[in-house]
Amino acid sequence: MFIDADLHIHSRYSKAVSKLMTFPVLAANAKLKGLGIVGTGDILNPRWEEELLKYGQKVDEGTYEIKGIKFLLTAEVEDNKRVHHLLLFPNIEAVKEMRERLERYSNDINSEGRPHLTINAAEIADLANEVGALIGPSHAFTPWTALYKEYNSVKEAYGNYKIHFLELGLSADSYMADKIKAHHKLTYLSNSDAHSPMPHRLGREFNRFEVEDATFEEIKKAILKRGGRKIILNAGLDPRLGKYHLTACSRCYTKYRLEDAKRLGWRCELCGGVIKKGVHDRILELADTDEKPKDRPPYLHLAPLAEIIAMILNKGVETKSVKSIWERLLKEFGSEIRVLVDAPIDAIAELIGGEIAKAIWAFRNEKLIVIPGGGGKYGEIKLPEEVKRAKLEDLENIEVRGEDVYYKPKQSSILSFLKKN
Amino acid sequence: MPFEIVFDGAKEFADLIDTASNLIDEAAFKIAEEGISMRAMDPSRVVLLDLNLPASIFSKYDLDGEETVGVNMDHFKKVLKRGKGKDILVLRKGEENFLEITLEGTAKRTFRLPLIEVEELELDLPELPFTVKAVILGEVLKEAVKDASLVSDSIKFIAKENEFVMRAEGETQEVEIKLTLEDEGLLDLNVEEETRSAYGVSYLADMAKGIGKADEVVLRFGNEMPLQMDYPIRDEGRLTFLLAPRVEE
Repeated sequence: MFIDADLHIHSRYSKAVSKLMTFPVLAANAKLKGLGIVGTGDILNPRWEEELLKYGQKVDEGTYEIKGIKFLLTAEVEDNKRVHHLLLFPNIEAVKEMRERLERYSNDINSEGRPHLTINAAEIADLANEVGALIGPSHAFTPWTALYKEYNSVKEAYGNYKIHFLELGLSADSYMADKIKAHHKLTYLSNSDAHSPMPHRLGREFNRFEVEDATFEEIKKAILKRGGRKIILNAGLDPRLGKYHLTACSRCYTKYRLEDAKRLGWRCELCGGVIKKGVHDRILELADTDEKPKDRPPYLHLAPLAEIIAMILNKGVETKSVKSIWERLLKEFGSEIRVLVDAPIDAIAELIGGEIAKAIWAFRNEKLIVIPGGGGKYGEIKLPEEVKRAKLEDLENIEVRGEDVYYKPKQSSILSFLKKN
Repeated sequence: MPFEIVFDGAKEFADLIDTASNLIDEAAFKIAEEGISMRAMDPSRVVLLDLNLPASIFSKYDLDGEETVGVNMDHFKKVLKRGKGKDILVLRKGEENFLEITLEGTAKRTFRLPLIEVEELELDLPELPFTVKAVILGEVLKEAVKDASLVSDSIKFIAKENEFVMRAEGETQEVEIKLTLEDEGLLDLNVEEETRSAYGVSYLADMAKGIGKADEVVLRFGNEMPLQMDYPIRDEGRLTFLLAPRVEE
C-alpha cells in the first residue's frame, strides 16, 4: 500500500503553537489533506502522551489510531548547542524510558513540547539508539536551530552513533541535499514541522511510503530501506518558499548574496539587523558532488493549495472563503495532491472558476512567480500578470519573466578593486 | 626582538592612531629597518588603511631585527591620548609580549600594553587608474563631510578642468561645495578627464576626523573608482586611505 505520512509536528505544549493543535482536530485535518499517518510530535511531554492515550486506539505497540488516522510516537528535542533532533519511538515504554533518562538533562521536559537538553547531539543519539528510537537531524540546514548551523557534517555532530534519516526542512529539497555526498546513504524525510493544524501548515510536506501496513514497524523498515519497504516520494514546498531559503536580514528580510552578506559582516545595510545565512548558500558551501544516489525517490514540489486560493481571492489564507473553496475542491477530487497535480484544469475551472484554475495551471508548469523566503519570512507566490490576462485555452503560449530578488548593496567593497590588480 | 623608538610630539602620534582607530579595531604594526608600517581593512571591507612612517621621522630608531606587533587600537589610542603636545613618546619592547609606551614631559609616565595576535594583511596597494588629483585643505574636507551628512549618506565628487565639486543629494535637500583654483581651500588640481564618483559619508567622516584644519590632504579618484586620500606626516611619512566607491544606481 501507499500511504502519505507527516512525521514532524508540534503539540499545543510547544512554544508558539496553535491552541487548536489537539488530536481530534489533527486527525480531522489530516484526513482532509489525504495523510494516512501523522507523527504525534512532542510525545516526551507527559500531558500530550495522556491526550494521545485518551483519544487514540492502540493499533500495535508503536501505532495509535484516531478517526482513521494513524499516529506514530514522535518528538523533537533541542541539544546543548540549540540543534534540533527528531525522534521516532517504537512504543510508549521507550518514550517513558527516554523521558526518564533525559529528565536529569532538562528543566522543561515535563512542561515543554520540545524540551531543551544539556547534552550534545552524539549523546542524544546514543540514548535514542539504546531505547530503540530512530533519530536524525530536524530541518538539517536552517540557520538558527539545525545541524548545519553548528557543524560541517553529520559525522561531526553525531560521531560514530547511528542516525537513521535526515529531515530536509521546508527550505531544502532532495536535489539540494544530495549535493553533499555523505547524505547519499541517508533516507530523507520531508515533514511539515507544523505549528498549526490548518491546511496550509499540516502536511505541507509529507513522505509517500510503500509499506504493507500503516504501522511504526513498517515505517521503520521503509526508513531503513528493508524488506522492500521504502519511501517512493518526498513531497514538499518549493524550497524557495521556505523561511530560510535565501540569505536575508532577520529583521527586515532584505535578501543578500552570500558574498555581500560576508562583506557587510552579516549586518543589514538597510536596517542594521542580523543577516542569516540561507539554506541555499549553506548547501552550496558544503556541496561536494553533482552525482545523485540511484535509490533517491523523486521530490515533488508543492505550494499549499490554500495559499494559491488565497492569492487569487486576495484574502487571508485562514479565511472562510478560502477554506470553503479548498474543501469544495478536495471533496470533488479527493485530496490536495490530486487537485495540485492530476485534476484536469478544465474540470477545476468548471467547478470553481477560471482564475484559480489558471493559478493551478501556472503552479504545475512552474509559471508562478516565486518570491523566495529568507531571514525567517516565508516565500510568496504571485500569479504573473501574463497568466492573469491570458484565456484558459491560450495558457500554453505565454512567457513569464523572472525577477531579481537580491538587494544590491549601495556600497562596493574595496576587495573588488584589490583583486583586479 | 627588542626595539626602542622615540617620537618628538606625542600628541601628533596620538592623532594619527586616533584617526586609524575610527576604522579598525586592531592592527599589526611592522617594525622594520626602514620604518614602521601598517596595513589593514575596516571590518566592512570598504576602507583600506596604509600607514608608512620611515625611520627618519623618529628622533631615535633602534631595533634588533624586524618585528610585527599586534595591538588593540582602542587601548593604544586611549593610552596615547594621555600625552600632552610637547611630550616625547617612547615606544619600547623587550623580550616580553608587552609594548611599553612612555610619555616624557614633566614626569616619565610608562604604560604597558599587552600585545595581541593580529593577522597581517598580505596584499599590495593597487595601482589604480586615477584621473583626478586634488590637494585641498583639511578644513574644506571636514566641513564638506559635515554639510553632506545633513542631506544624504553619500557624497559625489565631480571634477573637471579647474573645478572640483562635492555634491550630496537627499530626497528633499541638496548641498553643493564648489572649489576652483581661485579658492583658498583648493591648493592644486589635475584633471585628466571629467570624472565623477560617489562615496559613503560616514566612512569619509571617520577618515577626516583626525585631519588638522590646516593640513594639506591629497585626494585621488577616478570614475567609479576608489578614493585615495593621503595625508603626510612630517613630510616623509604618510597615512593613506583607500575608500571603495558607492554603487551608482
